[in-house]
Amino acid sequence: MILLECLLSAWKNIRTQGLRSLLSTIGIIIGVASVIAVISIVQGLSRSLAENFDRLGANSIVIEAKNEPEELTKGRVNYLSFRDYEQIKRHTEGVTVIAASFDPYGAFGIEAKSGRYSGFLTVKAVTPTYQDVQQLSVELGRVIRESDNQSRRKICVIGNAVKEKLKLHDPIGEFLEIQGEWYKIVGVMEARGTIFGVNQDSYVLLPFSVGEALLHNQESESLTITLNIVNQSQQEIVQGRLRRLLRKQHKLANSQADDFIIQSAQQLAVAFSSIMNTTSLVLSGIVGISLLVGGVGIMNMMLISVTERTREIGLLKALGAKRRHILFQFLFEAMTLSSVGGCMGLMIGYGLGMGFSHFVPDFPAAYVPGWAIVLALGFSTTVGLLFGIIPAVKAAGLEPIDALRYE
Amino acid sequence: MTSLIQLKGVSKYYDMAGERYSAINGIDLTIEKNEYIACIGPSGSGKSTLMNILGCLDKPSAGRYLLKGNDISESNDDELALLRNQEIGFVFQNFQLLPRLTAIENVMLPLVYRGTRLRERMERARDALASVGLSHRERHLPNQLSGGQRQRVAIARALCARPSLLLADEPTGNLDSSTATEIMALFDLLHQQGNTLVLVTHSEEVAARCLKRIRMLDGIIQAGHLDLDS
Repeated sequence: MILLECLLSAWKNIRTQGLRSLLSTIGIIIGVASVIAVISIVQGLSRSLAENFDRLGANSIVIEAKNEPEELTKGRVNYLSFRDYEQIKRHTEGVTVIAASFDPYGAFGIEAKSGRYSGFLTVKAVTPTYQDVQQLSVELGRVIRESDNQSRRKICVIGNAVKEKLKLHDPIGEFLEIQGEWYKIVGVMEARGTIFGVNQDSYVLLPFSVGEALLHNQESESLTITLNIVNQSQQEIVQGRLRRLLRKQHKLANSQADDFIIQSAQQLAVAFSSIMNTTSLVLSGIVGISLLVGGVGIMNMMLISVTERTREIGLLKALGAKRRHILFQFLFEAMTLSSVGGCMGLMIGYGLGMGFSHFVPDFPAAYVPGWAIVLALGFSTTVGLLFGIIPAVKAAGLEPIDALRYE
Repeated sequence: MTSLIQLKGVSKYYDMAGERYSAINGIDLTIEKNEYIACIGPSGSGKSTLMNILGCLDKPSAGRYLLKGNDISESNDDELALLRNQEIGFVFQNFQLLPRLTAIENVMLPLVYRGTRLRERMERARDALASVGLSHRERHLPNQLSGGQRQRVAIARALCARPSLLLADEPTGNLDSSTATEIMALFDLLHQQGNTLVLVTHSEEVAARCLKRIRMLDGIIQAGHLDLDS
């Protein structure tokens, strides 16, 4: 009951000294705002990535050639061949769908034209199963079929964003020109959204055999093999089988390291979110130092306040306030200041994060997880408590007669 | 029946730079219920120290202080705070109102530390303000009140806790003479209503209105100067 009064009184004191209270909490406000802004951006990113990984499917596995930069400088290039793909397809149990793909025009994309318009697109040559592994759905037209592959039909399927990019109002039946080759558009896929601000729908898929023809029989292009497994619990077993098979295929001696990487979408997601969380924590830690500086600001204001209100403290003691009542009142003031600062910082930080993600194109929405709110408010209140102790003890220890006599 | 207050050989010393300086020295004093006493003397005579001890703001260095028969000389800080809250009502020369609280909130303060519920606090504060004639100023802040009104609020605050003893330290010191007269009339009235009052003052005029006068000089009550009006 009396504690509640102390709290109310503390709140009243803070309000009557509006500007000064605000200035004293500015350190806390800035500290919390920066923590929250950083966390909201990083977590928003992390969340959107996690969703994208989920869409890749928890059961999917990606195999790529492993090329260390120093190996590449020595002219040694590892690759996955179509034979590797065939072997896996034939000999690995526990796999539902398997697809091979490669970038016939390089990993960085190429300019494609349609009529007067042109755009930079990623072009992939894929086996028909690719669309199943990637869980792509058709919006218009059809997917690439095995028959397209067998007859090397020069058709293509486009990602949703290509429509926009090349101003294709009625894309089915239109032609795309890539480096002098013409491809008929037979299908448009549903939109997948963006990862890291990179649009996932600016792609063109060609039949695998058409892509091979583009390479003019140089077998240097390395494949990306994607596959889905039957059962999530068999993830490790299947990965083990794949590894043994590929090592045998590549004739690797026991002493040699793998020349390929097997990754599951889940492993990527876990690795990524752990990196993101560490980043959040480290950044929060750094910015947390500014909260300590903010605490010193509050302590300074409280110490001045105790001196200014010495007579008041004397009076309250004369009227029957006990040591602990004065102690609590000043502690509450410090804690209220810092937690109000924390709340303001929280809102400002969230605003900054939202503003950032809003104005940077294709950036995922800012997101503040519950733990960050608890952490920011808890930390700022603790700062108030710690830095409020010295002024509060000083206030509570005043002798009533000395305090009343103070001029 | 025990007296309200009994001081027996009460002294207060201060040690300054190794020398002992005594503010009051061996005071014997008895205050009965419903007495109306002025404590008068020049500055440095020890009357403020006496008031601090009577008000439980300070403890005697030697001697015994019995309040309603209980010796408070050995009480700790929290027990003294409780006594001040329940037994003593203070009125100060410079009013000592909290500037950011309204009149009624200032009056309520002692009850806050007693843990009284808000509704009862409001009622009693209102009664107390009414008894000093300030019902129409409940929501005013101290700086919206005249000096005399501020002192009335302070008196209402002292009364609100229904103390055994009202202690006023130069209550008219900061007021002009006509306002001072009004405040003194209020003290007279409070005495008639049964309150026990001790006024510390150096004004003979103020002291003259009291029924009993204690004259202090150099830390002792001067012999033969315990005046009693018949």
